[in-house]
Amino acid sequence: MSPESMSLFSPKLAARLDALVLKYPQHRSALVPMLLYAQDEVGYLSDVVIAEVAARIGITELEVRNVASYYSMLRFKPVGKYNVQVCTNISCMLRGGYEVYERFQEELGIGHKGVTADGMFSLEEVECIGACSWAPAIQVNYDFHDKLTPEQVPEILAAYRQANAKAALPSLVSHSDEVKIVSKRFGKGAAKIDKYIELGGYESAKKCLAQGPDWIINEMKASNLRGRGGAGFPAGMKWSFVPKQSDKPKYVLVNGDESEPGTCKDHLIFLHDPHAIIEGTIIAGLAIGAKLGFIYLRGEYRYLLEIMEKAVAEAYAKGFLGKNIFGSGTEFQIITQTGAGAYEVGEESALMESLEGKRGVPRIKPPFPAVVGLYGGPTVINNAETIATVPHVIEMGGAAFATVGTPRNGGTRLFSISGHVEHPGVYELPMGYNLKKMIYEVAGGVRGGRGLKAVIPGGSSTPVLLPDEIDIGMDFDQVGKAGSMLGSAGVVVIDDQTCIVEFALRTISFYQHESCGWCIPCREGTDWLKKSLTRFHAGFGEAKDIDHIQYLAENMLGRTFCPLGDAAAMPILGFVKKFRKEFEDHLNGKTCPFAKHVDLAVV
Amino acid sequence: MADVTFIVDGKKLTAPAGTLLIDACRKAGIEIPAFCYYPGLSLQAACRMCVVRQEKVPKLQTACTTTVAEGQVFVTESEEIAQARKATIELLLGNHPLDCPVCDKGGECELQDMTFKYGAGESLYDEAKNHREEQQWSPAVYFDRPRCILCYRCIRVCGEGMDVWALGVQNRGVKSVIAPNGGDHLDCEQCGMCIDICPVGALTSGSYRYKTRPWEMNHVATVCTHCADGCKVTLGVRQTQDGSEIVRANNRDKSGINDDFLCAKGRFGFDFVESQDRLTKPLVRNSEGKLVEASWEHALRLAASKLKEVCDSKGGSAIGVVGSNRTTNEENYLLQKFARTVLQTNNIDHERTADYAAFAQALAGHSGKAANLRETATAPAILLVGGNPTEEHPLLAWNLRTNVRLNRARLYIANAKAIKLERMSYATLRLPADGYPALAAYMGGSNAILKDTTFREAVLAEDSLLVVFGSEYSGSQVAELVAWGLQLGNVRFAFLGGYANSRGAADMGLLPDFLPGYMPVTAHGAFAEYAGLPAKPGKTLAEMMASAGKGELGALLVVGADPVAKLGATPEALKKTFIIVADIFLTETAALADVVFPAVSLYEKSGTVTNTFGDVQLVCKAADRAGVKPEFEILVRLAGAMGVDVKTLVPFGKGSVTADLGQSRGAQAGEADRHAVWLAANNLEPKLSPFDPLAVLDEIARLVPGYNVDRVNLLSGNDVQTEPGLAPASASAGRGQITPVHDGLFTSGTLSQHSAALQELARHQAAQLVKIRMK
Repeated sequence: MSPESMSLFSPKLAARLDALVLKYPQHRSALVPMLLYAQDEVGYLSDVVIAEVAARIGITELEVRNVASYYSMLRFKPVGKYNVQVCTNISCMLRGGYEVYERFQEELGIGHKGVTADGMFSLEEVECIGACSWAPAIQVNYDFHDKLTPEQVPEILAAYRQANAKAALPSLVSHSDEVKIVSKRFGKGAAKIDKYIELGGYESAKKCLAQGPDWIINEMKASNLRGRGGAGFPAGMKWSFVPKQSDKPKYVLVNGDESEPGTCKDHLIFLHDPHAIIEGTIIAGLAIGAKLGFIYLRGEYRYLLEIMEKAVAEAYAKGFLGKNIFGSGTEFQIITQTGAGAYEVGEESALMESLEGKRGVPRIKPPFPAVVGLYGGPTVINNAETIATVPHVIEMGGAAFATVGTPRNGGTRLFSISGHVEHPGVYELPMGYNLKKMIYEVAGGVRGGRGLKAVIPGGSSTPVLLPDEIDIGMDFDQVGKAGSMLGSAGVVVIDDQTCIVEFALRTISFYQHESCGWCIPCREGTDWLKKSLTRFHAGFGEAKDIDHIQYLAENMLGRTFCPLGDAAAMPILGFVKKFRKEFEDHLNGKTCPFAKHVDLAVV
Repeated sequence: MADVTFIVDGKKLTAPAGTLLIDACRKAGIEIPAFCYYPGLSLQAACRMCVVRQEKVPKLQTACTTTVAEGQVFVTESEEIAQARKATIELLLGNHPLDCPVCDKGGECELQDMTFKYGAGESLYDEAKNHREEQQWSPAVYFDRPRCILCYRCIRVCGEGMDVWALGVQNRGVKSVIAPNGGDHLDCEQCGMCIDICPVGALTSGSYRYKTRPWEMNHVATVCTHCADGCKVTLGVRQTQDGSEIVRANNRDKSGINDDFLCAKGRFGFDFVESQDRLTKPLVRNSEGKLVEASWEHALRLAASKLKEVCDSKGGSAIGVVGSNRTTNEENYLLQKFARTVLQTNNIDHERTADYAAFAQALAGHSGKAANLRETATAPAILLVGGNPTEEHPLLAWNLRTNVRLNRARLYIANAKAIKLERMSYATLRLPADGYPALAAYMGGSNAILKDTTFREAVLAEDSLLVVFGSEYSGSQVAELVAWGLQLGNVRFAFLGGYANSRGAADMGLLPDFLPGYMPVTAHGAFAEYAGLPAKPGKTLAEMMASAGKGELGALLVVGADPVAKLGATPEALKKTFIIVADIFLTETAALADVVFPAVSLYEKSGTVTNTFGDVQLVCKAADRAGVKPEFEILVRLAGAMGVDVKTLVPFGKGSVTADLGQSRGAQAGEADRHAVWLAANNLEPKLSPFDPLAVLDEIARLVPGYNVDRVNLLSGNDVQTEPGLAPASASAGRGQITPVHDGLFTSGTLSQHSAALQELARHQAAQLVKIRMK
């Protein structure tokens, strides 16, 4: 790039961006991180920032704008010095997110996307930020603050005004039924490599180096470890699909774009056990013959990226990563980066697009990533929890790991429990653990002794379960049989004082916001559902609307380009079918029986 | 790939394995609807309209991404599929403005057609629609965002097709929007392809918007009058007070030599026809020396008597004739026949843009070595020498890009300047500014001008080669390059020149040394049937003007040319010459003329033209206006006024041909139409008018070497290729001046000066350039 004097960025940032471009196999991959770092320094993506970024990458300004405008964290207008982002998504909503948001509005005297006159603060209502079990949560710039009450709002603002604010770290919970495998090092300082090694870390990687790819894949198959992202595809089988011979380099991708509302498990892994992710990535690389792995975190997890970056640097320093890992003569490198605010990038091929510096729009399949993935090379992409579980599978042996769970559902799972329970948190329980027990014993039951109205078993895209449907084992097959999905294991508990129509509206609002817009049914369907439900919840619904909402959702299901359309349609169908009576109670100008956040301004 | 058999809707189909289902079905006559799928552009699978049911697959599949394999079974129409398509349309219409009554696209809109087919007649949507104001992106392109269905065709045709990449998609979800590269405007080649390809009325044409309804126009498919590629253009024609006007030009039926393509000139540069500057009445110089309006009778009688007088008194050598690059083959043929047989002179020439005579001479005796335009989209290896097709031959550039993109053709470029097409090239050779003449020697193994041999080696390693070159070469240089190519064996050539019928002007013998088909004037061959043909080579255009300057040229007949402007002649030099001009505008030459006939443009006449590749195409009359006459008719009337038996010029009337006047026609209307084509194709249609160009076409096909083309195809509106290899080898290479035109995206000789649309685009582009430089 141009000499530093030509850059509009500080010398430090300019140097960082110079290096960033060279880090990747293709320059364009640096685009999203470059935009984030430039925005961090300049405040927003001005025309000149876009021009310089375009020049640095070697693409047109139009291409930069196409990409930048896709990601919700990237902005084209200035914000306050402290940008307050309040999550009101389902888990936060259930625990007072809107009340916190309203308090911020009052205190600051601004609304959504407003900036205070002194330029100190700006305010945004944002989608899920991955702190569901510690709801309600906000971010100020990249700092998290969780378990908030409206009363805390003035002190938080005061702390920022006085420049002595301190970000909160999520709290850990425990219960005697937990089987701690993936979480066994949580809270033990294992983010530091020496501690991680002391706790047995990197032994699995060494073992895998000695045993070779076939052995690793066999162990993985024997473990019955199924993908923790939500689809539950057997990890060993996925790895075995990667062709042994390939003209193009192979890659391992770690999907840490944790964005499904109700899910915050990877958050803790990145925070407490980053080396498990590195070790799992190395093992996946050994299994498929890749020399390069990418760990991709969601953009909101900036502080976790910094923890990951430190851990990766430590691993390089120890010789566990690099040209000659563990002195074996084998090469394996890791690149870490974040997204910039896009749920859709959690879809595997969309993540590859994002990693290639493009809009996070999924790719046509087939070909599947195992054959044609990142940069066109064979690619294994796994959820961060799946990858973090891998070293434990190797350590325990695949068969032993499998026995912890239920048939075809090996091991444990990190359940993010949120909503109206006494003790929300991330609990590691064996696959197949009873849902009712999970709510009433592990999480302490419904908050304040209220009645249970409904449970979302696996993140906001999974169909709702009624109280009489929750006496089931939480594994992929049993939840499927009950008409829902285990998904990302984000269990959201809803009490009997909650309006299901409002809950449905908040759910669809999220998918409307996150639809990439590529295909018609998802782009138009989510927007239409959101508008209809907004009007409906505000008391302007008609009887035919209920059928129309169901018709719309049914006609999105299975028709969209990628699973996001299904993720939006399935929960809505569940709500309409199982709570039709409650929808009818909103008809004929009746106000919401649970009226709390009725927004009369219809879209 | 090997053929596979699969079943669609109960029918057994066969296609190469890996063919897209949608293509295989369309080929078999099974129409699968789609918005985003477009043949030749990258796959999107975004609109979900092409969903079909595949046996044993749980979800509906998109036919645009499903590849066929042995034994598959598909259903493409069923209740379930119709419902899926209907729901998709309902979703689209939910946010669509439904302003069809005022939308340019109404009546030819794919969204309307799909809605008509799949229902979606009831609106389930009560909410406010997402409205945005219409935006003007350039003089040529307007964007109406609410109508956009986001099929991404425009983005792809601009990027993949045009290699311009001026459009993108921005924002996300329902806020997604097509965005131009200039923020609020388009900084591009203004080709308008995005308008043509838009299935709805989201992208509309600056020159057509809100003018009329599609069904209020006649749609006439003819050949573009601008560059020498000869794209088929569909003119939308509407009635006016004094005739009919062209309201729109586009590529409506996509059946032509240009497939999907049309450039800015073809699309927007038709308005010169309606220019205020058009000549609409004959002009005659009065006793005061001023040009005044006159009747056709008077003007014709004056011109005829003067021509006859000069001819009789001074002989044909005192008369000069200048023809046009834009008139039809029939007019050009008639003009040279008139010059040679009536005026008794070989003093005939035109403003030559490329040395077609040298090209024909170089290929004489080598049949099957001339490439047609379509081959440029399929040849596996192409050597492009000189020129800048992106600007000068936009269709050729489109074909080359398409060929590289879809067939991975290897494009070799040898050029003294950097040109845009090099982005698509496999190898590039940068020639010294004066290096063109030496290229043949370099390719033949000499390193005199360039040391680097890799380019040569790569080209020579090809099994076949299409050599495309043009006006950088003339005379013996053409022969040298062709000779180098011919010894390769598997080679074909294309030669690039200037205007819509530059090639036809040369082919039809508007040359002082050659009769039509490059038959030397000294050896008449088949033309011996002309009575009293002069055998002495005539004067070139420059020689005619020089002769006029010396007072030796008694009369000059200029049809559709402007030699005064081109050669910079002074009024004094032409004082002693009686000048007769037929043109559509008062050119510098016409301003000095004694008689001026108001002629018509290529869009107002019938006949044929030959593009620079030698492809002959039918020109169909679209517009008309009172007062003007085609050059063909002007010539016939001029000859008639001179007392010539016009039958000797135009073989009209029944003659010896026994025509079937329809007795054998079938009962069905369709048969009658086919019958008419068959009659015409077989020269059996009686030519009952001396103004019927087809009568001359018969003679051209009969006498001109290489022009005995497939008439059924020609008259059906297809391009048919001539064979320059049939021209006789001649001792004389011919003389005369070549002036290459090097037109840009918005220039087209005199015509663009009278096209407000092209002028505006040129101004817009210039302003953009200034902005970019200021940045």
